[in-house]
Amino acid sequence: MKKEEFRQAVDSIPVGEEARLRMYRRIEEKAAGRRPSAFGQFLRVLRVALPAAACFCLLLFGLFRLLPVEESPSWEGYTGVYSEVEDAAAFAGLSVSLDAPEGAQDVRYAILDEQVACVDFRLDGIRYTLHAWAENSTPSSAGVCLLTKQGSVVQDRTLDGTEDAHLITEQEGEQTCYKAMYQEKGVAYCLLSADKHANEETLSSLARRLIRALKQS
Amino acid sequence: MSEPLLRPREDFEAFYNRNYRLVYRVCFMYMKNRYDAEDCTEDTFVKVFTGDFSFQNEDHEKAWLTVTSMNLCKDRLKSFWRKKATPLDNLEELAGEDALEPDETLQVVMQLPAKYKDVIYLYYYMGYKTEQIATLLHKPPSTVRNHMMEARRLLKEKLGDAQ
Repeated sequence: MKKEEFRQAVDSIPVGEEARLRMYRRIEEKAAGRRPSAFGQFLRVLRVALPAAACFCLLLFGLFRLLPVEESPSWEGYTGVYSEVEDAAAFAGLSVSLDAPEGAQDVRYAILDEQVACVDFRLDGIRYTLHAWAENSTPSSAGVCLLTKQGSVVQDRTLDGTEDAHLITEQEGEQTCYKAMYQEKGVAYCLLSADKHANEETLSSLARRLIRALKQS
Repeated sequence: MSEPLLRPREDFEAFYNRNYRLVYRVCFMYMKNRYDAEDCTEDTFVKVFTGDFSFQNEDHEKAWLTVTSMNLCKDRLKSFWRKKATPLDNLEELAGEDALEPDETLQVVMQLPAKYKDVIYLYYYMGYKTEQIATLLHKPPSTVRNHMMEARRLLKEKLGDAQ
């Protein structure tokens, strides 16, 4: 096949004037149909903007999930007077020696009604609150009781057979909570699980550990 | 860089008149009937009409239109739901024109697979060299050479005097 021969063959394909006009008319019609309307442009913007917005929201959501969320201390909402303090040294004026056990995290301190020392801490993933007050003080029992009350008392038994330490079981609806109350060297203590996740064994075990530490100090 | 040859809208008619034969003939070679060839020709020009194209010179213009119409035809042939319908109001117009009977050479080329038809058309009709064809089709020159060789072999088989 020669180039000229092929060119002539292709050029022999007829394209009449009628076809030229017909195609031109249809091109205009098709082009008019394809020209984007304002609504079409809006949809085109939406097609890009919506996924972008969704990605942005997911990113924000992820960031918020990753950021550490500071939990409210147990005394938040306490109706009496309370003041958050820097560390356990602030309890010296209350004649109370109180601190979070070794290994505790997120430790926060407060004094309630200028008489009750309070420590919030997290241990093994469970949030606890430990209150202490000198037995010769007269804490506003209403406030402290409200703060430490988790339901109706259903059982009160001694811990390790001594009258100085009790494990109190409270029930609120389906939820069973435990609270350890003990006395040592003229100071009354109350330990409870702030998030109510501690079971009887866990709370008893921690109370025994704290009592032991007090006896040794 | 020279001034773009096509100024949108205002020069479109001149652009169309300059190129419609070229595009139609490419489309006819692929679609093998006047109705589909016209449809593909229209769609090729609609791309230019609605797009934001500018061409450096007439060679660029022709190369772009040739490759675009080839690709459009191949896409159309591949599509499962290829439209065969012709609006009723156009049938009368179309029937008024003489039916085309391509000569033997053209008929043989039209029967070639699209990949061979591409290189044959660009080489024999448009006069491009292998490297230029490779650039236009986004294929390696070796592939273009192989296609050319195979296309020539097929043409020789059918025409008997392939160059």
